Amino acid sequence: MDRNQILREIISDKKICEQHKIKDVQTLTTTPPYYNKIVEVMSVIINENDNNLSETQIYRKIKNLHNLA
Amino acid sequence: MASIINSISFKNFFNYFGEFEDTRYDFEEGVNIIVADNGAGKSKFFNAFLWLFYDQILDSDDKIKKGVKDIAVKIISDKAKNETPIGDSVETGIQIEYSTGRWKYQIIKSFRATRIRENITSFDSWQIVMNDVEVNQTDHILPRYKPVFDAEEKNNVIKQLILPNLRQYSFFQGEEVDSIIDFGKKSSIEDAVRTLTDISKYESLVLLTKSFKLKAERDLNRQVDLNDAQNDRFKKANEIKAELEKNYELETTKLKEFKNLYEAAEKEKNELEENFSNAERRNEFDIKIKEQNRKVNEVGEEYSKFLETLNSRFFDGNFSWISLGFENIEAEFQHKIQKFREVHYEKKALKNISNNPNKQFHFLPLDSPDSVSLKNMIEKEHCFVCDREAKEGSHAHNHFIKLKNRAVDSKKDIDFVKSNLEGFFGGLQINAQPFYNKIASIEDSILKTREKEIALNERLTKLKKELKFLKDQKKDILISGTEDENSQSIINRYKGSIKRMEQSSIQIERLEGITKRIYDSIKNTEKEIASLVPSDIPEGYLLHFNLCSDLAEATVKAKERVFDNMVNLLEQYANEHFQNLIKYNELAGGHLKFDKTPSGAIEFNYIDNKGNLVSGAAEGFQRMKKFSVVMAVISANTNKYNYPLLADAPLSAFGSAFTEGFFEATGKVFPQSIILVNDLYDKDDEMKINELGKKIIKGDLVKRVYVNQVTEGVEQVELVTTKIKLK
Amino acid sequence: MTSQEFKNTILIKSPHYANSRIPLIQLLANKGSKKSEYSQFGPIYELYIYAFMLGIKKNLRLPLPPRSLTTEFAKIGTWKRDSSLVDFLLMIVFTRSEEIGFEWNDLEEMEDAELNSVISKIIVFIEEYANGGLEYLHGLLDKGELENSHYMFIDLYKENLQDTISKSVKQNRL
Repeated sequence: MDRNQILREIISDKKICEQHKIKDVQTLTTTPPYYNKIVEVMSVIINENDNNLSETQIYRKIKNLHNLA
Repeated sequence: MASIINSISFKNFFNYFGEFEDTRYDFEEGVNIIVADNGAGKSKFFNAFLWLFYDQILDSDDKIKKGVKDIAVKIISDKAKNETPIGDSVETGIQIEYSTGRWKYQIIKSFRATRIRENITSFDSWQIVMNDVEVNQTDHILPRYKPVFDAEEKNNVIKQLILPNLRQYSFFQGEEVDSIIDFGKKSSIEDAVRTLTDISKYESLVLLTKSFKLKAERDLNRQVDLNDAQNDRFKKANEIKAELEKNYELETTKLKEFKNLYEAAEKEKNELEENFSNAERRNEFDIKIKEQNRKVNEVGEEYSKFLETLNSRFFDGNFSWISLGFENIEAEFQHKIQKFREVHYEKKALKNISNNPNKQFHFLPLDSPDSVSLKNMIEKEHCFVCDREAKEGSHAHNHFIKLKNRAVDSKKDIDFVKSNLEGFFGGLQINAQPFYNKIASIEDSILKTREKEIALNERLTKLKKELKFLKDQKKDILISGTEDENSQSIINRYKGSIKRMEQSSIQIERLEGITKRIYDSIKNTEKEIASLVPSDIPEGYLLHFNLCSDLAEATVKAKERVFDNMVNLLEQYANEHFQNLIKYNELAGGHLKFDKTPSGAIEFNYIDNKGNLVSGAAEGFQRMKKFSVVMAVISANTNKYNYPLLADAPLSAFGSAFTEGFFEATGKVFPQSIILVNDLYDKDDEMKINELGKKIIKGDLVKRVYVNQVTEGVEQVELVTTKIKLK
Repeated sequence: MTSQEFKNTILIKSPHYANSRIPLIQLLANKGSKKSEYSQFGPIYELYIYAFMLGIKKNLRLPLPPRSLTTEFAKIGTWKRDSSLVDFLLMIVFTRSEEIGFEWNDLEEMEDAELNSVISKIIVFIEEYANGGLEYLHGLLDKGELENSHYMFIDLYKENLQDTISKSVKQNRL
């Protein structure tokens, strides 16, 4: 249940790598510093899901990453 | 670190009568076999673990798992039950010892049953009290156990032996294998994958990301809608503003027009006012001028009349300028008339003397009053000659009468001349007096006349000058319009302009109010617009949505990928194990293939070397298939599988061909396996195992072999299981 | 004839002026309302008397042309009816009785016809001196020496006054 592994598995998606210019997936971590926004978002989801935050709570956090209301 | 079961002990547990020490099975790493015939305690092993893990026991009667307490009575060894008198109690329990690399644990689960009645099989006969689970631990160095008191820790110790989600792959009874890997059920392999992977995490992440995507989309749409709504409001407000501005234009134009009208009227009024005052001033001047004119005319007339009459002064008896230069006339005429009179009266006297010598010569001296004067003097009773009273009856008065009459009488006089011209000449003299008695003063008169004329002229000139001055002044008062415009029309125009001013003023006020209101509305609308300005949808929303969308997609894909990978891995392992399991089978060949069915379930298909689907194989094959998958599950565990296998191996179902392979494979996959078999039992054999069994136990991986025996020919209550350790 | 009759006989006579004087008369007499640039007398008789006086002063006696070339105007009696102007005129006339050719006392003895003849002579006397005066004025006019002032007549009247008067006195003494 390695979070990093999950993160990498997901981010390794071809589309994401292309669009978000991710070169080296294996260096990604769910802990900061984050390579970019999408990594950050996914990390937050993975982490907080493990921390048993509710869906709503996690979503709010994600929104905050974009400074959205 | 693998957990290795060190021992399992039973106390008064089913057929295992006696204390823990009495029924203790020690195990090693590797394959441990317990050969037990049916009813010889095989299933009891499982029950121990059931009790250990789940506090349950499988009721063999109805094959239903039940709570330990619920069927506690059944669990108690019959013999023990029998030997427990009423009032007395008996303890039943299991003990399991296992080690991880670091620790060794001892777990005891037990209960005390107090017999309260006769019938030992009846649940009512026994009072059951569950004992607390006892957990002791020690490190490998010290031989003594220390109790673990913390409840949670105790639980953990129990759990650790075989982790719950893996128990189904390492702890199963025979038939259960079938249900574990029910190829018909999609969930079987999914469960396996779930066990082996973080797939549940992925699944929850899939759900999360999917939900987030939806939420993000919703949020984005809301923003767009808000934006649209905002856009609409913005648009509308702008439309309103445009409308207002148009209106404002119109009204301000009107206002401007009216202002212009007002200005024009005001200008006119002012001009007229000026003119009006000018007109009044003009009027004043006109009046003055008129007066002056009159004076001028008067004087002018007087003057011209004067001038005209200048010449008449020649002939006017008051002036008698005609007489100028004729000073001598009076004297000359007097001389002549005297001479005339001398002769005239001489003649008369002679005639009168001749006619009437007695009559006195009544000829009046010069300057005697004429008859008119006489008449006057008579009437007034006054003598003008000597200026004395002459009352009626007085001598003088009578004299007057006589004289007057005498004149009459004189008519009676004898004509002493043919024509008595004395009166003529005398008359001339008297009458012409005005013309000769002021000759001396004529020069003076002329002078005076001259002076008067000059004075008049001067006066006239002065008046004319004044008049001109007045006229010039009047001219200086500029006036628009013709000189002929009279005061009345000026007044009318003046009034008209004032009225127009008033009307315009009213309109201006009205329009100013309107325009102000419109202006305020515009301002308010602008404020509204400012706050309506649709900010672009915060970029974040779009990015947020895109990210969520991408992540949702990627997570799904990742999950599937992980799943597929795992399935592939399982396939891989399964094939490996399968090969191992069927190694000794002549029919071996081909491989297992995992195929997804349309419903998403996974099929394990045995494909032969030629690529043909092999189906409907013997039960043994099926079992092997399943086992290989189970093992694949174990093998695919990313962490090395560190848990013991406790399995009931229906070798008969396997078939001998597979049994060997099974044990071999098992040994390879599981660090420790405790296999309970009955198929190897041969009661007649000295070792009590058959040939196959002997073969198997020879395997290197087989470390321990027990054979359970049940005492024969005894009553149930006497039934005990004993073991023989073969290896 | 009585004094009055005698007077009347004179008064009803209308003197004549030469037609050639008409322009002058029109110019210098304002009978009616004709305005001229020169000072004017009112009725013609005024001018006539003035001319006569002027003629007497300047001793200018000028016979009239034949009757047909003359015009008569108002009767003497109408000349300033309400005044004694004519009386004065007659005074002057009768002062020059020797010149005219009669003696005052003789008049009283004359027959009407003879009186009329004297009266005629008187009229002629008047006419001729008036003519003389008019001639003088005419001459001035032609020469452009007519004074263009209201005092024209006066100034003319006063000219050579002393000489003229003394001259006439001298004549009378003769």
